[in-house]
Amino acid sequence: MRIVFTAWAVLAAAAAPLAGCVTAVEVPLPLLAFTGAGCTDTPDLGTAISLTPEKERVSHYVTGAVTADGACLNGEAGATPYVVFALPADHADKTMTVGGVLEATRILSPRVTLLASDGTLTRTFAAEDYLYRGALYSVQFRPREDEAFILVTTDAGRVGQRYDSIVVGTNTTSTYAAGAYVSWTAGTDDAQSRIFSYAGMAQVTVYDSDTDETD
Amino acid sequence: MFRKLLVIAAAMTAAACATPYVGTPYDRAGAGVQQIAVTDDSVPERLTAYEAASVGSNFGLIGALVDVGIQSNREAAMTRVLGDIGFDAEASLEQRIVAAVSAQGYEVALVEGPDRAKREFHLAYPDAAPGTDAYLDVVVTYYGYLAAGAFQPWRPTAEATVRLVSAREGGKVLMENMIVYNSMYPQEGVITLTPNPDFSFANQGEMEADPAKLAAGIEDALNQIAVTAAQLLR
Repeated sequence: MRIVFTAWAVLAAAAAPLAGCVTAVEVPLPLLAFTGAGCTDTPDLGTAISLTPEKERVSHYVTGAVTADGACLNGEAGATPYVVFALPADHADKTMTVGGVLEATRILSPRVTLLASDGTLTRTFAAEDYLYRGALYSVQFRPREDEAFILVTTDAGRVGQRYDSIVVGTNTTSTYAAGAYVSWTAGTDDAQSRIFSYAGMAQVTVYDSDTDETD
Repeated sequence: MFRKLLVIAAAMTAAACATPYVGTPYDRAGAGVQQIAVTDDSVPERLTAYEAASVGSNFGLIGALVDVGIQSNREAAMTRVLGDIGFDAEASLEQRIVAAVSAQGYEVALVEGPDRAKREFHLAYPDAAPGTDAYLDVVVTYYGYLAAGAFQPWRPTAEATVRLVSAREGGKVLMENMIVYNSMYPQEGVITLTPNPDFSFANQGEMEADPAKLAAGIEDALNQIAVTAAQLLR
């Protein structure tokens, strides 16, 4: 008994200093209420995040955080935080997927609208247009000639709703025994649950069907 | 059979490292489509009953060969059970597509046509009723049940590609997308539907013992694909 106790004491003593090396990862929680302070009536298009890559690529994505203490807009349904993206100038050959990223515990409840260069509203999307595309709850569209910005705000009506999903996969573990590595693949079937939030990560994925163009 | 399993396994596991899928979004205002013909042969003849990380697959070539036999026998048993109650997956899906697309304000009719040599879009479309503006080509690449591995639940699974092709503009693609229901590692850009927890079985014995629920699970998966395809035509 004493040997066992001593062994545990040695292990605990060895492990104690290691605890200081571990960095706790903070998982962002869903933001279920938002009042906003200093919100404006129109978005600041000067802060738009560019969607133009340095070099044309078949696909690339750009993210923008929608936060509780960032820019916000006054709206009919109350204040909403927002982020705005600037479409590439040559957007005729582009397809866009825009929405909220499926994070560990939350999904930004996205409301995507398109704006002209002067900020005029050109297009909105209905609730039925939002679908789960991989890890993005999103709409998909091709920009029209007169569209210049993508505005992502929050759909308050969806905030607080839960998205439950089941994710199936496999997991392989390897062990070294009797001079050989042995691997074993087992199935995984995990239930996941996320809540739609006022805050979260917005993402735009840009697909380019013509990367050879010179103009 | 072995090739079929390889295709399904590759589709399910290689997706994570593949190029993102990009669909063709539909612009209803500019398409001018009122009358749609839904093409035939939307569902493959055989269902799948695929256990991804089976015990046998962990035992090299011999284990893999034994596993192929087990999977094949399981598919045959499920096909027989569903056949006994007269379940017709294709009729179920096509009826639901017609209803769902009609609900979006289109005139919709099924059009009889040749069977597909492969689970791919038609290269040419049969004559449809006068006034047809577009063909809706729905290709289910696989459907059935999937378990992640031994002692994991069996749930419905299905994958489909959908395409709306202009009948007036020389086959111009007006919309195209891929929809998966309960897929392993869904590819970025692919529309992903999570399985309905109501349709889950512990093992093959449970599946064979309740053919009505077995069929209802597949029907639910295909219905959700049909409704999603119709949503893309809003």
